[in-house]
Amino acid sequence: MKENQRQKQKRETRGKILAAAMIMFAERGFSVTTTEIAQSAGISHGSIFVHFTTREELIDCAINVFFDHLNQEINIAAKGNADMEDLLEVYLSILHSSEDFYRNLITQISLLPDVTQEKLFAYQTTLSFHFDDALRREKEQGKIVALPHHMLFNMWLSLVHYYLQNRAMFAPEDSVIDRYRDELISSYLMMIRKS
Amino acid sequence: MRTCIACGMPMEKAEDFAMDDPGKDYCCHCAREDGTMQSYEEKKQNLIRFVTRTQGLDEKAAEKVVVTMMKSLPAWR
Repeated sequence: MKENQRQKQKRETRGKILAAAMIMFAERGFSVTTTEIAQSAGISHGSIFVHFTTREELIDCAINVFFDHLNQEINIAAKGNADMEDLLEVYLSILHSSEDFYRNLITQISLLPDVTQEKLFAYQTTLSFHFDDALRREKEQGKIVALPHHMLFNMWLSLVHYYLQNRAMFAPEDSVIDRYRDELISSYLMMIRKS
Repeated sequence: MRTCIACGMPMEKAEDFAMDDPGKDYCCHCAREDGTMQSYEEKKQNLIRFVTRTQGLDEKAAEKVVVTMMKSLPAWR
């Protein structure tokens, strides 16, 4: 069915709010107010609540947009039975495009509602699924150390998260991923692969 | 790309679909041996095992994650 003018305008305003929110969450974190988001989007404060019932719903939608993109790219990369190195490279490339947003998310996740925290782990199942698959294939070839898959998965996330969360110490004026991408991937692979 | 209505997994190749049948809207992991789709409870328990095995979550926390995840999937809305 063809979209009428009113529906088009509604969709565009919703997109504008979401885009402004994502920029502000990346720049200033998840404590920004809906008043500030409305100002940045160039709309009235009340308009936000026509499109998002609560501030939490807006935050959830922004996180959903981020993970939809990340997970789609991971799914595409994993299509041809990507090996672990390919998977890690794609993962960091996508994070790089939204590095500030992701850093604020993992740093502030414990301040967000329980259901948002649960969603974060639900979104991560796409990565954990392909990670598990790549580990299984490399284990069959005798390449991977004998550690449980969840431990190997969490070791990777811990490493990436530690660098991102401490950007001020690791890359105060740069992108952490730009600076450490190769070292993170090669070091992790050396840790999990048998020598 | 089509995705499984019961777990969200992308389905591309015939073997990704239940019974290798691209006419199905659920994947090989969500089908029972006879090809029918698993019930809500069966899928929930399978996903809890999957999340626990691949992310190492506490079982009760894994259940909350899975219930939240399933709410967003077309088969369980």
